[in-house]
Amino acid sequence: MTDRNLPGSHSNQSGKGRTSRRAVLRGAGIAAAALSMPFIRPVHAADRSLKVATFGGYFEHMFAEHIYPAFAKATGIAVQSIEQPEGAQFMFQLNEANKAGAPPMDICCCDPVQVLRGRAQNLWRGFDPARIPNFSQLSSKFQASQPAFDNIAAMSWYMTFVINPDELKPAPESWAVLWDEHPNAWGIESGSVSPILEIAATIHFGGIDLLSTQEGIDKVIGKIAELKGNVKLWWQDEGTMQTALVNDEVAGGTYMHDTAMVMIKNGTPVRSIFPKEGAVENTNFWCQPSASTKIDEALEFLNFSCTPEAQELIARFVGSAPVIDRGKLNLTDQEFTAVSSDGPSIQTATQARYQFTDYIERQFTKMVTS
Amino acid sequence: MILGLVNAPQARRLRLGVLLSWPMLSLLGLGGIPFILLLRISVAPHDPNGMWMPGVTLHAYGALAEPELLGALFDSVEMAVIVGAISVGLGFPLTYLITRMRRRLQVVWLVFLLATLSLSDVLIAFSWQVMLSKRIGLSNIFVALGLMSAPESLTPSSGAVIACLVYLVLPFTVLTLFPVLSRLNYDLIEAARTLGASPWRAFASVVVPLTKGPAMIAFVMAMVLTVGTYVPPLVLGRPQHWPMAVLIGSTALAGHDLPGASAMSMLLLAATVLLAIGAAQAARTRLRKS
Repeated sequence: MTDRNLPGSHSNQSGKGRTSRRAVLRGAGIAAAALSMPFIRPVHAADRSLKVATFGGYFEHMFAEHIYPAFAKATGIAVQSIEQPEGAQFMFQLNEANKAGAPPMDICCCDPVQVLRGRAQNLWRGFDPARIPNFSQLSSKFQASQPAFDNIAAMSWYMTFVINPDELKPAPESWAVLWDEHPNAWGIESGSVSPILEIAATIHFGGIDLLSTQEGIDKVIGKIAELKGNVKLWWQDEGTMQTALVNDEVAGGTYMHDTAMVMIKNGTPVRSIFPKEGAVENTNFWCQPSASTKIDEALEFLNFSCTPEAQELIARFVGSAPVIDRGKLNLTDQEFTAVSSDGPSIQTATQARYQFTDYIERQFTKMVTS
Repeated sequence: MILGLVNAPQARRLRLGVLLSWPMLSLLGLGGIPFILLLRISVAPHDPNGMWMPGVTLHAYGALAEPELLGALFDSVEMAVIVGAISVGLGFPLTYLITRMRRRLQVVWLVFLLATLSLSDVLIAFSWQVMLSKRIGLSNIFVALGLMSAPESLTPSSGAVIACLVYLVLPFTVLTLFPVLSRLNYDLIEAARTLGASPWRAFASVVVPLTKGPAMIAFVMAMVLTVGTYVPPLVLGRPQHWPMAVLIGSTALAGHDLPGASAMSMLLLAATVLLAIGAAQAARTRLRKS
């Protein structure tokens, strides 16, 4: 009855024939079970597991290969690595899944604006500070008090002045070079997510405070408009800028320091420069969707992430800047300068980016498309 | 049971109705429900934290009157018309040539064209970016041939976007025209030639009138496929010519404004429908005249 409609089966075969085929299948099943036996973990270990999401690609591979195994070794908690998309769709999907009681991960990696958006939606679980004793190891700026204890700094990364040294001589020391006479030379990230807002505010208006009002945003975007003759590529996708750098399409521009370091490792002759005013520093934070039930495991993961050992691994393998002061870390000069800088840094205007997202996006689009 | 109560022709009609209703229902489900959702979101108040808020407002539609949005809409339509015209202009003679080839060669061409459809448009746009670049791009070949003095970058430009889009759309054009052109009665062309018509005259007075309708369908299809394009203009084009789809993407994903993006989508949809109806109408008038 069951196998009569299967392709390749013969309904006129005797019952004996069918039985023997079933016997073969049963045998195969037992053999498969036996083969997979050594890989089945004890039940209590399977219970101690956690799904952690980070941005996809190289980033996620490095976490899965180097960071989660170290955590599993330290705590016995197995981590299932999940890729999470960037941009608004991630928050839309996560919020709906969380409301349905089934978030796809127990811990996710958020930019500071996503932390604020999630908090406004009651998306995040609040943590018990007593359960994360290593929180005090973080740099002081990541220990500042907030309206809710629902996020833990995970890693930082920089937007630097990445150049093609053959195309741009001498190498720039300041972001101000962007505004010099360099027609069609730059690739600048476009839209409200672009670090050029903070760069323009710092270079021309003495800091990012101006971005906290709409009038200030208009002024900063007016300064960015002066760059239009110099910008060859207003990129939205980092792959576009990467291809442009590799093929000498642009002399330089704003780009991710960590990705540039991977490009250098792979033989592309680019240089990532921390200008004297500082590169734009972004930090990612671990958050837990409130419907996740793995509370204890999540706290252990967060506590592990705040250790110098974890931050050293993140610096060495993921290529992100540590969120613990350099003095507490056992990183060589080379390891540290590969991911960070001792100089100043330009902070992201998180509150402005949260409060005026659609306004900045609209004004930026208006400027760039006109 | 129910079929037993009605007579045979009625039963047949009923069966046919039931059989034909499921594609209709799935079409309604797959096309209608997302459309209604889009319409609903487009009249919802913007929620800076989530997707949208309960309530009804026409705020997002009011914001559509911005010159950069109307400019982007114009760019979308203009790009679609140009790409449609070029792809039919190239696709028609190409298909004609393919249909005149030996059977085996025809299959090779069709398989090749079908195979290009399996590539993602993201991959194709990036390939064009590399192909038009300064370092290893086409301009190096032009320099080697003595046509250019030094290699230069050919992006971002409208030409690059259009070339990439024609590449993406051409297989559809050829596959639409192939059945008509392969069934064309070549005796008619031969008759025209025997009566003294030049090859061009025979083509213009016999082939063109016989294939006008399908050529128009291919044109409309190429336009509709192009009007919502996102990746090629983003990777290869100048921001001044970014079409509506790019602005919809940045409004929704970077600007976190779903009602705004939905209203823009409705505008683009309306423009596309008008464009398709206009083209179909033009084709009908022309056909009636000829």
